[in-house]
Amino acid sequence: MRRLLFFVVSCMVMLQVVASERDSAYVDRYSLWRGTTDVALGNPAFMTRAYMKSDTQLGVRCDYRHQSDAFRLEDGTGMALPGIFANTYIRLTKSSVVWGEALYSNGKHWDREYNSVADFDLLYPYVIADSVGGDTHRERYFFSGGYAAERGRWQMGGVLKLRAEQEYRTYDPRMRSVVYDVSLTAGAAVTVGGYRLGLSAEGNIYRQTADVDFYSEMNGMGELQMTGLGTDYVRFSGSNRDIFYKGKGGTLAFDMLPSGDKGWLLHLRHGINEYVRLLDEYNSMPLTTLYRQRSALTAGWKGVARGTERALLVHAVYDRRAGDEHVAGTASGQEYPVLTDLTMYHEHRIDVGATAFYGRGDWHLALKAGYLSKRERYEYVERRMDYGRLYGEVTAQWLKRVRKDLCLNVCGKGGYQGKISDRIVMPYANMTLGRRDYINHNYRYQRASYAHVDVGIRADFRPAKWRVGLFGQVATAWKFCTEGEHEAGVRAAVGVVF
Amino acid sequence: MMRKGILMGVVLMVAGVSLFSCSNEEVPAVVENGEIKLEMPLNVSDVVLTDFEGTVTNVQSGVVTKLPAPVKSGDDYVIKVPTLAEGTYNIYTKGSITFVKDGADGSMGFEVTSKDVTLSETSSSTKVVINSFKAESGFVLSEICTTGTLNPQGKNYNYDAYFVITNNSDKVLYADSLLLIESQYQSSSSGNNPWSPDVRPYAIPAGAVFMIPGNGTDHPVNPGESIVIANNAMDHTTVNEKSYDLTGADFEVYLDNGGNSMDTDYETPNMEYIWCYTQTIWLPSVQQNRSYAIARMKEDKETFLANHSVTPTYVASTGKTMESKQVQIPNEWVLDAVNLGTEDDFGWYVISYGLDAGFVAGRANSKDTTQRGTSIKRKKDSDGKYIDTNNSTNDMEARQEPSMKK
Amino acid sequence: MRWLLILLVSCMAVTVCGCHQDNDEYMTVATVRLDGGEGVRIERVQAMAHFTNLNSRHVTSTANFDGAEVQVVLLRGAYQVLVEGILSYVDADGKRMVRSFRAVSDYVELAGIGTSQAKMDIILLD
Repeated sequence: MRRLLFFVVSCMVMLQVVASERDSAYVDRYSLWRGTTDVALGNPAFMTRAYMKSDTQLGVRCDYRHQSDAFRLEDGTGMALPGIFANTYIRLTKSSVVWGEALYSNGKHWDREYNSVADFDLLYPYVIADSVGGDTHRERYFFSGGYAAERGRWQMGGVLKLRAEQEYRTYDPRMRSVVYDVSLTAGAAVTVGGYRLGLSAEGNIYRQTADVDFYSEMNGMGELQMTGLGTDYVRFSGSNRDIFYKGKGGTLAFDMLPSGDKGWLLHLRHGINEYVRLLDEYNSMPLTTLYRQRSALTAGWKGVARGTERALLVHAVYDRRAGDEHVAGTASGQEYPVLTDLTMYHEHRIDVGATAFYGRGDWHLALKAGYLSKRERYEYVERRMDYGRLYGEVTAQWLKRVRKDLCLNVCGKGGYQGKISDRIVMPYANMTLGRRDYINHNYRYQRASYAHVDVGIRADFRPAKWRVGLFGQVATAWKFCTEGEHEAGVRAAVGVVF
Repeated sequence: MMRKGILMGVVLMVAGVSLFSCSNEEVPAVVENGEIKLEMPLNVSDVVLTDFEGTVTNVQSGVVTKLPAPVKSGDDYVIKVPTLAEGTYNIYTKGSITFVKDGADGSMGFEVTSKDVTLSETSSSTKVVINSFKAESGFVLSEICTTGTLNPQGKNYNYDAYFVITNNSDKVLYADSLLLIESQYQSSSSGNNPWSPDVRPYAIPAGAVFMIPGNGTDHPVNPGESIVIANNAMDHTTVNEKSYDLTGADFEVYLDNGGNSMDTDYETPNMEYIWCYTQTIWLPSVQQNRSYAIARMKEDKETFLANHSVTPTYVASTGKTMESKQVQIPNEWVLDAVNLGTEDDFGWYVISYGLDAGFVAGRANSKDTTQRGTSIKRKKDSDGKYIDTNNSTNDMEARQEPSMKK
Repeated sequence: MRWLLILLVSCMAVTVCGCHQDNDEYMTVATVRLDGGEGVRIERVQAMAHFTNLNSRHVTSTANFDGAEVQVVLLRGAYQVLVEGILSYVDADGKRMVRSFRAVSDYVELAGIGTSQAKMDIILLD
């Protein structure tokens, strides 16, 4: 009898430990508290202690978004991107981990205008474009794999990411872009005192071919080689419809995290990329080169005491674009020499703010406030488009094992971005009506204020007897604009986890 | 510790906001007492401005301000500009003047633009110059229709090209010995090659030359009347209902070269064949990227071919020597010339810019086919005469309804 | 710890130095001189000069001739230049003439840093 009692109690204790471990692992993975440390996971060396337990997820998901009026014409009015995904984090030994991700999505974007390339956010303003536009199909393949290990005080790791993507349209103007994007990151970290200090370096190579065709004999419109704020490289706009991009870049990052639950945090990152746009004709003549510099700083303090988690982080992000136009000389035998380079385009984006985290038990709260601004300029003839906004955001999360076999993660977010400054300068007298409408449309939404609300829930179901669990996730996001328009989005995913 | 952290965060945010939120809304300075001088032509006297309208457009705001009537100041006229914001302006002026030139009274209209002119507190005056040049009136190319048409099935039909030559003077002129000329070179950038010798300063490098026959008085043309030269003077509507009936043309081109011509000789009187780059069939430029001219032949055919046949060359990047067999029409024989080009690819002037300083864009780009079934026409001024300043950018307009379309 | 800091500072220095240097010499003071040919001395030019940037098709106009030269501030680059008007000149025989003229070039390089010069031959129209 005593042996039986001992056995039962032991099992209960073990189950409690397992349940506690599983609870802790679940919270560890999905808690809002991860926002205090996830920024450092860009250094693969930190992945050795990223999560408590191994975890693999396979599933299908879909992202859907619709805007009542395109907030930015180049993005269109919405998208639907269903796909399948898999990600894994596996602890091989006590001191080594591997992780990986694979994704395939095939979806659609609607009503894109002045954008006939993939990766507009990466390459703007140097894109090929037309005012007709339309819906596009987008197909993406993504793979990444990494390995990290620690020995003594040292941790090292590396991760390789590959993205191949194509975006195309099945009616005139038939744009088709094919992207290859490869990044390799290596990092090292060392535990010193009560902190882990890490340094990582990333190298990136980027390629994209973009062309636009017209199948209809009557359809002979030209394509624009955009150069920023509604300008285009008139000399090579028109019948030059085939371009390609060559890009390269690197990023350095430094991180400092406390080894335990309490201490100071620091993340510094600086990256430089350049993307050259070349014409297929005229011996691959370079038209423009885009230089991007992205710097980020996050600093703060976090601590856990008496079951309460508190953190305060400040962040500052600076994203600078400078664009060179390569001024062509006179053609000689179908080749154009480059006469000179002029940096005609500049854009500066700044985001400074602070986030306060508070967590107790099943609840977590994050309060974020800050200022963001964008200043965009084309040198001659002068064009400018600027705005500045103050923003505030509240995020609340309730994360709990409601039953032995069921975990729930409910998250809600609300925020407001209020415009405090805006400015536009354009040579309206020299602009066509179509170009004027395009610029004014985008500016209308840049100078607006926005309120947003996000609500989501994730449920993980795994009875004790099952080796594999199920998860389901659905979230909705709404954005309301002072121009009277709105955006609605839904994200859903289902899958298995083990 | 926590309080210090919060204080630090607030200080950083305030610093960030104050640093970056500065919106320096500048109030632009104004330009008072601004002046625009209308400078009258040097080579005329007793100028009187009989009619004027003018505007200045602020390039940034797009605001258009009407200019007041100019006031005479010496030989010229001065416009007192209303108070304007400092900035860059496009100036547009239009009007008429009367004058005395070489002892004779004359009058002319003018239309002058000046772009990207800075008006500021320190630079509040500018000038525009009235140009009195007009080409000597006579025969002009008043219509060039070479785009071809599309048949009802949407396929190209390129055989219905025609040209219209008009007597733009006030007296009877004779069309005998008039030459219709097509340039040898194309105006696209791909045609811009370093040919040697470069004859353009003194002659038109021609790829096709046809002449109206006659003994000098066989073909009178009254003032304001026109003659039509068709490539194929047939009723093309029987083959393509969207084409034209050219049986009423005055002359047609027929490659009567005694060789392997595949051309068809219709009933309409033929132009005399002088020279053509092709021996089989001639198709005027559907792409609208060659130049056309009319000239007066001053030699007989044999003498002309003996004196004016040349083969310029250049060495391509491949090392191969390229040749261009052609004939050359001396610029002083030329009565009128029109450069045609593609809007986004006008690479070079294939004839002397003294003959034509601009070009008319028949199509927007090399893939554009929307210009088919249209023609290029010369503009007319208010008294019904064709405008001819030897600048097709100003004188001609594309995508017009063909006059032979019924 | 010290060497880590040194390494960090070195990396930041490298990345900062690697940043792109703007090519911000945008404008040039372009001087175009009209040439009447051998023995011809141009005394006064009354003309409009239109400079069309070949890349952007932006047009800048001026009538401010000083003798046979005109000066204008332009964005550095390649231009199509059209000058039309009247000039008074002394020909090779010493005779003073006033005639209409034109000077056109479909390609003129005006890309010098600070200043640029170009010469254009004239054609007499009447």
